[in-house]
Amino acid sequence: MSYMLQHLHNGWQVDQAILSEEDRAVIIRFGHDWDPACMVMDETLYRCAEKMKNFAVIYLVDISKVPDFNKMYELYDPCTCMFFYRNKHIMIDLGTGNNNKINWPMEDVQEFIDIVETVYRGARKGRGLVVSPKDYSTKYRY
Amino acid sequence: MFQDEVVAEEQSKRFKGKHSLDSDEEDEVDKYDVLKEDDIEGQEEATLDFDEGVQITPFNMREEMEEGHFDKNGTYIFDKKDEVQDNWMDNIDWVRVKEREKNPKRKMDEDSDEDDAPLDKKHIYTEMLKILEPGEMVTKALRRLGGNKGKFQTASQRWKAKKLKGNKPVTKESEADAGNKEKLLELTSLADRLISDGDMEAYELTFEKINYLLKHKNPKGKVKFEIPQDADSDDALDMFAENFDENEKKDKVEPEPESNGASNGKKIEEKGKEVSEAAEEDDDTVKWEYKWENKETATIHGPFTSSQMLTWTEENFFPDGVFVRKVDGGGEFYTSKRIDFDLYT
Repeated sequence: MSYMLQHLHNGWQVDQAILSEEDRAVIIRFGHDWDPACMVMDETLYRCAEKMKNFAVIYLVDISKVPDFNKMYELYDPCTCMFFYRNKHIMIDLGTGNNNKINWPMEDVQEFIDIVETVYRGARKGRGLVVSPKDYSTKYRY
Repeated sequence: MFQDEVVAEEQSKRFKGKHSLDSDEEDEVDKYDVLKEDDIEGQEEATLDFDEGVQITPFNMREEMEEGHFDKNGTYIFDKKDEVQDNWMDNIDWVRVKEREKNPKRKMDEDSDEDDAPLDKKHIYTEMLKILEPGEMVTKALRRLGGNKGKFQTASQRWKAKKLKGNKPVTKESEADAGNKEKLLELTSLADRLISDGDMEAYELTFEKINYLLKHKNPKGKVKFEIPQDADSDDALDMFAENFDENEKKDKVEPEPESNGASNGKKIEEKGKEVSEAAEEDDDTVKWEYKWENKETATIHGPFTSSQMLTWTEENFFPDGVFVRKVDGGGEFYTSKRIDFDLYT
């Protein structure tokens, strides 16, 4: 399912992926391929990868094989999506209280694309924090 | 005992909260008794200022009293009228500073460069267009105009070139070179002016992009002026809707034949590139539609440009937010409160 999305196998690769992308946002999904939540997310990612190829690139990281970032990014959820632009972590006000990452699987492709587009546009304008078009405070969480 | 009192007094002062702890205002003068000059005993009037070149200091406190005062306990306290000065302030030529203050015109002149820039932009763009070739980026053009010399790298090549030069009519080539140099300098200065105006992507501008910007400068300006004149109700907004529709149509129709026309005379590979560029440019201007209620039946207004939506939200036309979506995406309606239209302009 997620064969088309590129996996990163060590911390160095992750760093390079974030560092070397000049013009696109970098989306990294931290999790496990076998995790049902991740499967949902990966499906979404896979379906939007092509549409977003002009402004975002997606990588998958197995947090068991690459535990380097678990502590730093507090990767305790089954599935976490984080956004970077030119080696800078971009925060998103999702309404959930956690602006650092999307830590639940998203199913709606268009919604995800909209978020990524906001991230990309905001980051290009030098924002470190963008507001997601949709408020996720009630959905999924509680 | 007396000291205790003082301490107590001080503490009470502190708790009254008149000053913060670190404020060193000196209005405490009235809080304790100031020793009057008359109370100082044994003072003598000044007699001689100088005695054979030696300055005589009179036996009195007059000089000291100018700079401070004694409290009742005899403690000398400097008046803090003169602010503590940093050493660097001694070096300031105050005459010059005042001069500068006198003619604010000079400051205006310095600023006016930037102020004029928006007007000049059109001119800059047209000048740039003259130098650029279709499908060319500014950086690429600079390379074309200036980088020719880099071609002759090896010694043998240079030697060959020299030989060729000897055979060929030299004047023509050098003339072209000089022309290129001039163009190069001009293009650099133009791009530089754009950058100093805040357009950081000046060097990445392409021929088509500049064309596009030129075309779209006018209608956008018009739209902006139209808003404040009459817009209080939905009706007014509706009225706009039609106007904008027309404007938008114009906008949309114009760039396409234009860019196609530009690409006609060029190689096929470049054509493909350009089409994608044209598409990108269209992507750049995101259009929005909105409705007042998040219902299926609610009437949809629009499309409007992002800058239009931005001005509306800034002028608080949507106090409770409206439901907006991008025109091309056909996606969900989001509340405008969470959308930063500034990102899309």
